[in-house]
Amino acid sequence: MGSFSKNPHVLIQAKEVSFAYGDTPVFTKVSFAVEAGEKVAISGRNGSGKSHLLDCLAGVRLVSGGSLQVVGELDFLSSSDSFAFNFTVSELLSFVPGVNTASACRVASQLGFDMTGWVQRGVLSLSSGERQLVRLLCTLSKEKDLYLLDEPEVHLDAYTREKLASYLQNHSSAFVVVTHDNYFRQQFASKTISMPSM
Amino acid sequence: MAQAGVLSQGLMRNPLASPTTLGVTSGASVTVTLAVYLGLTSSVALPLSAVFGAMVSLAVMLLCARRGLGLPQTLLLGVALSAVFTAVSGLLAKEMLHDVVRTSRLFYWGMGDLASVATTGCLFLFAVFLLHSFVSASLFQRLNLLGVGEKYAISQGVSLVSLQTCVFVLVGCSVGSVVATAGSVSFIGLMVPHVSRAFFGNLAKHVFWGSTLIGACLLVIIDLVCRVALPGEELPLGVVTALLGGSFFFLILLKGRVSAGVYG
Repeated sequence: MGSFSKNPHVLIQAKEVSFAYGDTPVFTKVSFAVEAGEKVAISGRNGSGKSHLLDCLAGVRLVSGGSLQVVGELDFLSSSDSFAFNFTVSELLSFVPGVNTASACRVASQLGFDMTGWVQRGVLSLSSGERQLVRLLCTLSKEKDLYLLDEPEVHLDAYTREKLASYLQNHSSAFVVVTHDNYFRQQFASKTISMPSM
Repeated sequence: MAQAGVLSQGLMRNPLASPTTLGVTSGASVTVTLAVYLGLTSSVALPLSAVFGAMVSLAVMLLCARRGLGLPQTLLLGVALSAVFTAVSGLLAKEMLHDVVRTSRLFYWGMGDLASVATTGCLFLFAVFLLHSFVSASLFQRLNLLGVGEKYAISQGVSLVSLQTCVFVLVGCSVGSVVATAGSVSFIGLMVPHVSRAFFGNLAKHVFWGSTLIGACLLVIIDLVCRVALPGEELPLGVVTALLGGSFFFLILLKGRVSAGVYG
């Protein structure tokens, strides 16, 4: 995968990273670095490969070319995942590694909502926004060096988006966030990676 | 069969997946019919042929899954496989029509039959059950994480290839063993996990053990009903489970709780 940056604060070092399905490129020669605590947004047109890039960072896909190094503990929220079964929130919190009810309640309160009434509700009985919040809780309630979030603001109301942006901005860990929402991006991101259209 | 249903649904992330809807039961049935046609009716040849047939079905599924076939398409492939296997079984049975005893045994076996299961068959199934339960218990956490999302599971360190292979081998062995011993008992693997979820919740561990209990009780009750419902006559077990399971399948669809492979 190539040599890694000698800067001990660098969590992600991508050099001319590409991804393709056979001969069809999804994105080509993207280079960037993410340091500890940095808040990075990935923006670009539909189909420019933002989610694919995030998948590569999370280890869900392997890059087709270039050099990619990711260090530190990370957690990942994909926009294309969906719950297959009607888990209750308490069931989810019982098996998602590194999460417990106390940490989830703390993050929920920082995002401006009270989850005590949800604990015994099935995730599929929740609204899309509530379901997105549960997925965010499963990711953000863990202590990690780096969080990779694919469109975390989707389905959230304006108030919760503000809270989420403030949460990301004030958190000590690094975040790499794919978003189409420029206002949301401006609220938390210190750096933006613009994906070129293919 | 109920345990195999839980594993299939967990792996496919689809509450409509089961050994029946994935064509695994039909795959096991056709190779048993072929074995009978070829005269290989020993207590070793029949289970081996059934496991082989189940594995062939699952291998086709596995190949398609790895080529990126979606969940609805996978279920449709199961329907197509079932149709082909049932047609081949019918052809083989037709070739054996001159042998009334063999055809008659095959006919009753094809509809599921507990009455003719010998003690050795019970012991064999119990050994398979113990092994299946023991290995499946090691997959619960991975199946739970997969229930949250495929990418999420991978990012948490779950190897989908190894999980798929493990589940397919388990389902192939268990379904093959059941079909070889007790015939084609349809829809238990689809119906029972749903009932178990309603009683015991959605964690893989609870659904699995709940399904084990409910599946065993349900089959014994259905078998009892089959034996006493008509005086002097026994209803075929597989016919009753298919009637119940088919109606249950219909109800699930009517309730509109399943959409595009996941609950909507």
